[in-house]
Amino acid sequence: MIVRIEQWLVVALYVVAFLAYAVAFRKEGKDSFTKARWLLRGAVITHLLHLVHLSIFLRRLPVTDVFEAMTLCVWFFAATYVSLEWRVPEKALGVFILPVIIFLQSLSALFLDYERILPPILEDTIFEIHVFIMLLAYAAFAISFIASLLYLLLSRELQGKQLGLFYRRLPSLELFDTLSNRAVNIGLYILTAGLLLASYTGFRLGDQFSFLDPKVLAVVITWLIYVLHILFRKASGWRGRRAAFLSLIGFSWSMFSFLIVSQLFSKVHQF
Amino acid sequence: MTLLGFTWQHPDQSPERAPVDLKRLYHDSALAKRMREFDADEWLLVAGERVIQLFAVAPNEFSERKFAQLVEKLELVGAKKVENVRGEYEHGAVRLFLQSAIGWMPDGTINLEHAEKFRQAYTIALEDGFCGAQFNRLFQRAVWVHERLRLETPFYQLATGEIDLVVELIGKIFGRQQSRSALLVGQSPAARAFASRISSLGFCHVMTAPSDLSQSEVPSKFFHRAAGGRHIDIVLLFETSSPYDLSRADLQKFMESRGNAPLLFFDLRPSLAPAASLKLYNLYFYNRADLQQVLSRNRDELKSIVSLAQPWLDKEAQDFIVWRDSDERFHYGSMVGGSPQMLRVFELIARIAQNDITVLIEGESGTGKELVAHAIHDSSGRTRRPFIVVNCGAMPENLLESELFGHVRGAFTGAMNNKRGLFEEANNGTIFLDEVGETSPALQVKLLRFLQHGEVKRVGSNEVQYLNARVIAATNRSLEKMVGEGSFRSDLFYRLNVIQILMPPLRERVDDIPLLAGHFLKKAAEKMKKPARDISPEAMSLLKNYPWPGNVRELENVMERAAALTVGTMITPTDLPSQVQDSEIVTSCNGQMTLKEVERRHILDTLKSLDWNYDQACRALGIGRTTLWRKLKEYQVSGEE
Repeated sequence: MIVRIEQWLVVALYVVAFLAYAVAFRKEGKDSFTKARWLLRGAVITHLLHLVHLSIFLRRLPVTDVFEAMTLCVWFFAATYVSLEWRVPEKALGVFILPVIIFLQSLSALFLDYERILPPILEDTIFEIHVFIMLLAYAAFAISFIASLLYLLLSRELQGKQLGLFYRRLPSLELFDTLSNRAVNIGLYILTAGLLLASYTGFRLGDQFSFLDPKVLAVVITWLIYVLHILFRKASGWRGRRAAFLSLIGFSWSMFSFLIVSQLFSKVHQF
Repeated sequence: MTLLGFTWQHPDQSPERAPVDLKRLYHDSALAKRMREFDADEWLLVAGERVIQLFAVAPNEFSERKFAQLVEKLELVGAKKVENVRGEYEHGAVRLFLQSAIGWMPDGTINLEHAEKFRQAYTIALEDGFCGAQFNRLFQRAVWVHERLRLETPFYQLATGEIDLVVELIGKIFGRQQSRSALLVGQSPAARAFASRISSLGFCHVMTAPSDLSQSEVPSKFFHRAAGGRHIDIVLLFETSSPYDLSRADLQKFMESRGNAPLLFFDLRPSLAPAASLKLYNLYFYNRADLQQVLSRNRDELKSIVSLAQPWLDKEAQDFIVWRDSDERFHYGSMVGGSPQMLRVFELIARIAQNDITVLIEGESGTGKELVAHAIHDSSGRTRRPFIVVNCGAMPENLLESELFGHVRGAFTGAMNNKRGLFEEANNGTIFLDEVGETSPALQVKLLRFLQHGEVKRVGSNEVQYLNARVIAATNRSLEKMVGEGSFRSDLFYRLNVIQILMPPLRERVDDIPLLAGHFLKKAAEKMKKPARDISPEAMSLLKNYPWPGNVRELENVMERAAALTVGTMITPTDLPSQVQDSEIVTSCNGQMTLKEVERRHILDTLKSLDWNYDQACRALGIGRTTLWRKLKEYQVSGEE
């Protein structure tokens, strides 16, 4: 029961932080973001404490089903953003990121079922590490997704010569481009490591596991999209808008495979 | 006396006129003389490129006509006739003053150059003593309004000129981190102005090219040749040798030839035709019409902001009039002063309080250094946080160190518990280090460490804490001299001396003495429930002549003593301490003078200070009328000289 209450408390804290960001974004004051930033940091720390409590309560990492993994993923996402905020002098991003966080965290809080009985393969350290790493990669891709989205919004205003809200509030295209690319690079390294671990687990499982499992294929496609992203960027001409589009596609696909493919089609993967 | 403000605006949009040298204008005695003729108490003349403004505290007769004559006489506008002067009085003049100081012109446009001119003129006028308490206050309020506009509205962010907008667009697309290269085609004066502005940004490498692009040539080749093979991020096209239409295909070829990397293209040729749709991948294309459209939208928005800020200005104007008609006029925080030196100090405080810069206050003992520190703290964003005062001269070195930085248990004999240092107490607030020159070299190193990195270590501990306390230091000895002697670290001195506030000794601001004496008398009389209210002219002249080695603090004590001793409502010389009573002789003894010379001077001074009233002079000098006559005859003083 306490775990459940904690989940909703975390949601509430994110909502409060979001409101503070929204107010600061509207007012465009120099100092108004400070409060919002501290609220978000508070929410992230509370969330971490909650995760620790949840792990102790379950006697394992909360990675065995999609809603458990989701709350962990949300935390990665929020924590990455907070550490990013520390370095980049731009704070307006929070307004766009927090709704995603709130939505996912609410889903997790609604559907988390912590009393179900686990199949034994899931109670394995290497498996836990594998899921952990994959979630980390998704968090990085999410950052790239948001940066790319903002890139496109801002670039649309600039090309259309309608210099409005985004123009006024957002930093430069250049910054979003760098941010998105860096996040993709980091995410791809992590994803590769996760895939290698997964194939190791797969070999151990033997017959139960097939490399033609829809989920496995979906993740490999995700991996390919991001590899393409990097390759295309190296070969010039794919800078700017197209790279941003590709990042949007990559993340949408990975969310699709995360939430839908595994639920509907996969036998081995629950998510 | 009324507050007046006049504006004259050049009817032409961009007059070809050499900028006015404000310094020369002010130092030219003709201006000061004329203003004296007009009987102006305070005045400020701002002569910009297009706008000339005059603010004055002067009798009501000073009219638009007189202002026009003044401008013509000073030949500020060449041979032009000065017409259509706008005059504002009292309330309106306050608003005009505030608006102009922040670059918001009477016609609703924003002109930051005018604001800069205004600031220059104000600084000169203050130094020369033409601006007094009223204008000082107004200027401080203007700084405040400016800050509020800057923080709460996009007032200063909206570009109002083409150059500003171009610079802004470059920043929005390419950021300001990496260096980019811009190609400028054309050599007109406008193009040169853009070139110098853009290269001054520091992140743009600017190349200029002649304008021989014509229909026969492929633009991509032309651009590449002009850039010498360098990669181009920004193109500013000012002129082409023959009329030339940029076509979509041309641009596409150019984009492809440079790998379709993002390109910002400005077509700034004078034609104002709306742009053909030139949407290409990664191309940001703007022509003159586009820029003008954005600018006109910005201007509309500025107007709406201006209407938002109207009530602030109205309130400011009202507050100012109320303040002027009360005796709050010479107060700042808990300081009192109307002399130019003090007004400069007040202005400096208002200017720096908001930023968390380190301040060094230098001044003799008793000049009110702590009051300045307090005023800075109170007008900063840290008001509700602690203000900690440490007198560095009052404690032995070791004790001071553990006071400032704290100590851990067992750090030295008697350290029974952990103790927080004063820096820790002042975290997020302000720490005032009085007599900072008395600190030992070892402690100076630690102070420097804090100022540079915000690091503090408790005595006996290795743990580093990072704190955010604003440091205000004060000293009554010249640190610069101490650095020369080697008793104060030069690096610490430079760290402390970011902003220096010099507190003038009281003897250098004699004009403030009546003000201060009255203030302290009122305070003391209230405390002691005494009826004393006034100071007799004789007592006042004694106070003015006394050299005040203990500065304001001494004056406060003297007035307190006087309030305690006096029996009536008037403070007379007998209520003053003996050293003050002897002050007149003290002041005249500073040279090699014979006794007779001293006597002659003293009699003359007394007569002058009493407006040649012989009766009063006799009483003040303590001699009979006939003796005075005899002395005057003897020294050949006749009547008023």
